[in-house]
Amino acid sequence: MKKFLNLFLLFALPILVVGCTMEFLLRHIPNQYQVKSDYLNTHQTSIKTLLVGSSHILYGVNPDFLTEEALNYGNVSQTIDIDYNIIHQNITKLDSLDTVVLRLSYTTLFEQLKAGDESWRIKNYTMYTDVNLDSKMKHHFEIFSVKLKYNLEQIYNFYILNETPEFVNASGWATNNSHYNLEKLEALSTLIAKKHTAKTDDLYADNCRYLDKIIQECDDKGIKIVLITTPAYRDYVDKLDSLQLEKTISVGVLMQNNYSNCLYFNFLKDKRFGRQDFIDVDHLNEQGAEKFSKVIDSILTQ
Amino acid sequence: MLFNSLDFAVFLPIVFILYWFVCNRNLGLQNVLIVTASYFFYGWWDWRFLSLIFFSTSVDYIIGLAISRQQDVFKRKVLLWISIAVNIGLLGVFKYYNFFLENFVNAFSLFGSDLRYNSLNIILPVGISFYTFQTLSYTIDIYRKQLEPTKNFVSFMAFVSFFPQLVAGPIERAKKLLPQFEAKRTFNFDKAVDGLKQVLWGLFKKMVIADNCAFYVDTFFGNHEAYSGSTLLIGAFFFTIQIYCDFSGYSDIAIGVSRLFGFNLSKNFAFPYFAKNIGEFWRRWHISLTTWFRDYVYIPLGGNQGSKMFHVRNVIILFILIGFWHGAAWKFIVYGFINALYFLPLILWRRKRTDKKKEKTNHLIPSKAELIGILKTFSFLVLVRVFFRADNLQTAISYLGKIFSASLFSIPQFANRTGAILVFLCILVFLAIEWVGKTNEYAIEKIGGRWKRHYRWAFYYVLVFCIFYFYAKPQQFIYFQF
Repeated sequence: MKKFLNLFLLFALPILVVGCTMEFLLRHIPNQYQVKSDYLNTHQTSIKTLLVGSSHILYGVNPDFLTEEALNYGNVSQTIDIDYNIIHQNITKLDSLDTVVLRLSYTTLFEQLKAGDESWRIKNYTMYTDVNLDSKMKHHFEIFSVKLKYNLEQIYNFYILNETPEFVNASGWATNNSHYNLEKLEALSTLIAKKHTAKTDDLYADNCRYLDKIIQECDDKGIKIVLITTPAYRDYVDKLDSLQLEKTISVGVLMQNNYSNCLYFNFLKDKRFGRQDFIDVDHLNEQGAEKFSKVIDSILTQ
Repeated sequence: MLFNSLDFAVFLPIVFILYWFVCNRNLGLQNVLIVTASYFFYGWWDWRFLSLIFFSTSVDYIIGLAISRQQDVFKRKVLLWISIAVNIGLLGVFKYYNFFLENFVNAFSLFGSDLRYNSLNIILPVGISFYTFQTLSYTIDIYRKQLEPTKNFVSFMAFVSFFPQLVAGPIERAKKLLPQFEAKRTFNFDKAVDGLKQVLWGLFKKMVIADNCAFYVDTFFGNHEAYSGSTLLIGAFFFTIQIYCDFSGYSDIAIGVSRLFGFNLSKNFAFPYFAKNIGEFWRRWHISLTTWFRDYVYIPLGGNQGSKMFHVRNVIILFILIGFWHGAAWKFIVYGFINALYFLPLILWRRKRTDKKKEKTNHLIPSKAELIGILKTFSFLVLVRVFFRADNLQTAISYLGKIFSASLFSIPQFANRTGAILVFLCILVFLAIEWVGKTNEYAIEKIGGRWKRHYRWAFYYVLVFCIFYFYAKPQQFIYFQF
């Protein structure tokens, strides 16, 4: 037995050393989750507006253009169950919080991060933020959450090529560096609309409950909530499933009618946003974000 | 808990240490630990279904004792039928209820009766087909006076729930496994090292080959209308490889883990894709299931005794049941039936089984006849597996129809051509290793046996690197759903 254990440990040792080194290096690459979490902890008394949601919020609203101090806590593929946890776990810490801006997108009521292909992103919350999620053991490690191939690329890009990951400003807004061919927006519209259309509505009731709980908790604390459906490219909107879209919008309207602290704004087909304002079919670019942030600011300052 | 998860990587060493360092002096304690660990392992997936395992275990333990004490033939038979009814009943409710109900209603609708029904909205408990068959064989063997029942309930619980093989086999016979729970286990260095090697090979098969094939298989089978015949043929080929690597990978891990604890499980796969005919294939594929059906269904039906027509009937029943065991759907029945049809020439022309003799020769270059036989059998399997993978019978027929269209001769379309080529190369390397090691228990058993340690370890490190580097999105083992 002793021989077996010794040999096994000897065999496993290089693997453990490489694994631990990679984990250490990966954890020291700057990331937007850490930036947002730090901002939230250091500005607890001054944040007036909290923007929560998916990449639509992350790329779409730049707090620098808002009158009051705000934090953009949107993240790629962030779903409403996580939005709930962020709000629920921070609402008491943020003494000056006045308004929560929450996106209500086409996919919001039909998906949850833990149930989809993007579930590996849960590790970002467990490792870099104070948000407690019901996570698997592997989500507490960089090396087990993402493919080795991508981890090696990340280490190489940051430590060898000195490339920084996606840019995020101090208040949490990010720009996407990838440049899509705007000529292909029409073709992309069909593809993305299909991808965003849910196969089942199994999560619909659960997600509606999360939304309801968010608004309820904000109501209890005297915080206003602004639900927004962000602008999207016209062709994409035309290709969306009418039933799923109708269900989403009607929930927004219902919440506005049911709760005095809730307002719902649907900018999906807003004509102020054209081809030049998008990175792709449903995400605003820097110029679009500036325009949209000013629209949001006008709502917040009314 | 999945074998290819971090949870299991933590769970296994803890159980191993407790087993050999804390409970090593007390056999009873070791068995209690195995039962506890096994229930924990199963409960990690869904604890509610632990009651089903416990129920099935208790019923067969009590009935096993009752049958052995009973001298009256009629009463023995009644007890056996109670056991069969309970076990098949569990399967019936959780696996087949909706299928039978739906088909019953559809059959009535043909005669103009519109019956209303409520289908059960229940999850299929993982591994139910495996452990019910295992407990069923226990009572049948006692009834046949081929086995003495155990009086030790903990040993019996350990036999039914033994975590390495609980959810996807091999389906063990009590005659082989139960005595191992009742005998003292001593740690064996060679056996443990061999077990680890088999676990490593199993993980390679599952995580490098099967899970990477899964991406293409899911894409092509998920939207087959959009792809050409040549692409769909490649999809069917990938699935044929995927299901083998997935399931035999699981078996390798199960057998390897058992060896770490001093147990020997049955071999479940014997390089089935190198079979030269369909008969040989079924003697090499999922051996624990096919031998189960042979012993408890085929032979009681009369086996190959009697007229050819009688034999043909038995073979058709056997294959249909094997197909149906996999799931409550017509596609599985058709899958079994087509296998039976392909098997029939072997009966009708009474070919002698020469494969056993040939298996013993460890030649690297196959003969022409051998190669033709292997390719013919493999090609058949690639096509018939479409029934296994497709969502339903209609999709399978449509998929096969698309394969045999003019587009079969077009250039295959891939979203990620480089990735597909890489997977294909991995498959070739894998098949080459399997071919070289085909006379062993598992392919890499003897590889590096005479090498110096650092070369041998370098080979294992390459496998470990491949597992981490190529591992795709972790997929559940396919056979969990059965």
